[in-house]
Amino acid sequence: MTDSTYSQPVTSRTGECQLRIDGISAFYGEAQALRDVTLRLNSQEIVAILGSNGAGKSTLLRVLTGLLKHRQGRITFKGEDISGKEPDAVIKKGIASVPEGRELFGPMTVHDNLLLGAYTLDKQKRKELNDARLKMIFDLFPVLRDRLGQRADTLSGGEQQMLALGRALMANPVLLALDEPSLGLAPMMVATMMKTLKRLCKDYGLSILLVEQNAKAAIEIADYVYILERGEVRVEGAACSIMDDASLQRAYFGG
Amino acid sequence: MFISETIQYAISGITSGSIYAIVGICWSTVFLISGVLNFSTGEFVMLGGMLTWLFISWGFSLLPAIFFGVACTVIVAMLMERIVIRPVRYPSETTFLLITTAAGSVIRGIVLIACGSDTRHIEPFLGSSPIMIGDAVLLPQVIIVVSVLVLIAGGLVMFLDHTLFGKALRASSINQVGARLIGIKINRVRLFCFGLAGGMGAIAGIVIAPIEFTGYSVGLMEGLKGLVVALLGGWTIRGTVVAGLALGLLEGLGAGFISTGWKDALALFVMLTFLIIRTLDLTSIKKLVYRHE
Ligand SMILES: Nc1ncnc2c1ncn2[C@@H]1O[C@H](COP(=O)(O)OP(=O)(O)O)[C@@H](O)[C@H]1O
Ligand SMILES: [Mg+2]
Repeated sequence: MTDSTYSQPVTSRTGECQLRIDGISAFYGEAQALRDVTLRLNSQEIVAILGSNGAGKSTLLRVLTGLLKHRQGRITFKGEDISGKEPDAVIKKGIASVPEGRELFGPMTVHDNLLLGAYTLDKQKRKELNDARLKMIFDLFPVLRDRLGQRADTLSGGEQQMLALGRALMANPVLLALDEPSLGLAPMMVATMMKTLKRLCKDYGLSILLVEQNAKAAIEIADYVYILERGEVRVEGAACSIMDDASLQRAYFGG
Repeated sequence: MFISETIQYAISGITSGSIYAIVGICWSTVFLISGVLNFSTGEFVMLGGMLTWLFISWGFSLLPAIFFGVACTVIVAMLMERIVIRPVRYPSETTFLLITTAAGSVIRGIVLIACGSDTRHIEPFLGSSPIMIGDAVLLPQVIIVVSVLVLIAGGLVMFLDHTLFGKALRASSINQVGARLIGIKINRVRLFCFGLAGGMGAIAGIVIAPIEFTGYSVGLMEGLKGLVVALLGGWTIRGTVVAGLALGLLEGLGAGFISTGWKDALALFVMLTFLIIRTLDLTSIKKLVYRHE
């Protein structure tokens, strides 16, 4: 694979830069999982991060959300350096996430899981926002309304994905960082989920950093795409240019 | 005669059972949040009683003495989390067992040096004129002990189920990664839970002191029995309350009708039986049998 052939200069994108990840390297013990990863995301953009299993996608989100300390590089969000901040500081800045494995509170009710999503908001803000947020979430995922009193671990895989996304939305974020929200969904549901993400971006003005193995589904809704390979950015480009590229099609989208 | 004797033993059983239940809740409060079996839990009970006695002996009246006794124990518990537990580089159950046991010995030693080895007594809060139930004697202090259990257990359930911070505590005990990602500061939660356990343990030690005396070493048995009922109760509040009262009753009736010497042995016997039954791995036993055939 020859790299950078497909890369476009980052500056060709319009819009105000919201998130900038600059030369991030991260390690698990001595094993390097991210090598000098640089990417940016503009406001109200959907940026997809694709790559095969073990490429380092989840690691990148772990660094962004503050779960994993990186060794080099810088993360800037809305002009402010947030690298190395603890998860609670990151979510307060407006970055909410759906992590790998969902990390829901299984024995607690759907309602409690959602309410806990707003944990970092101050009391006043919670009062103002909670009802409207819940309404918005039920509007996006009507099934959650019927499941409100049920334990989270009794939901189906798809419903748990919705709940995890709902919980993230309760924090009133500016940017959503999602780790494989299509994982374990039936094909029909994947399309619905992607449509929902597009709606969040268009109607609610959110930006989305979308980690996916399901490249086909993600690229449909993405504005810009980065492809990770063994911890490095191999390819980047506008979604349409990547989609039109025959050799990339073969390599990453199964022909 | 037999009936009032039984009532008398039951009253004494419920009294110590209430304390076991509170101490059991202290164990779970720390264990469920941080995975630490805190073997100095009993020392919080001792500190509550001894510090309150100390403040009273310095001339404080009862309520301020109780307040300072609880406050100091809370501070000790939080310092312990901050100084002894949090800095552990390679946390494991064995490490924590050793560390907390050692911390308990240190606390006991300091109290022994500072206050001596005599047993101490706090005057009953509401005097000692008994309420008679037939021929059985019910001390007002017993009513206080049972009410404190009800308040602590009930208050905790309300707090955990109906406040956002309480829900956050439950969430932290269920899934730490998830809790951190929604912005819960897990370190603060742990610190809070150590403090809470310290406070509840101290209160238990204070309200029981007028009935059972206090002294530098009372924490050992109280702590151990708290662990027994937390285990038996499946680390839940309701389960622990039931197990605490059951163990108390068993002891009270056993001590009354059989012999006082049996009292502590009974609790340890219940714990050992329970632990052995629970850890029995039936499949490996089968394998063992088959191998020898
Ligand atoms: N907790 C961990 N400890 C050690 N190595 C890990 C851990 N998580 C991931 N890795 C390694 O880091 C690399 C990137 O993993 P990950 O970010 O999960 O990839 P992806 O999400 O793209 O599938 C892989 O080689 C993986 O084996
Ligand atoms: Mg992953």
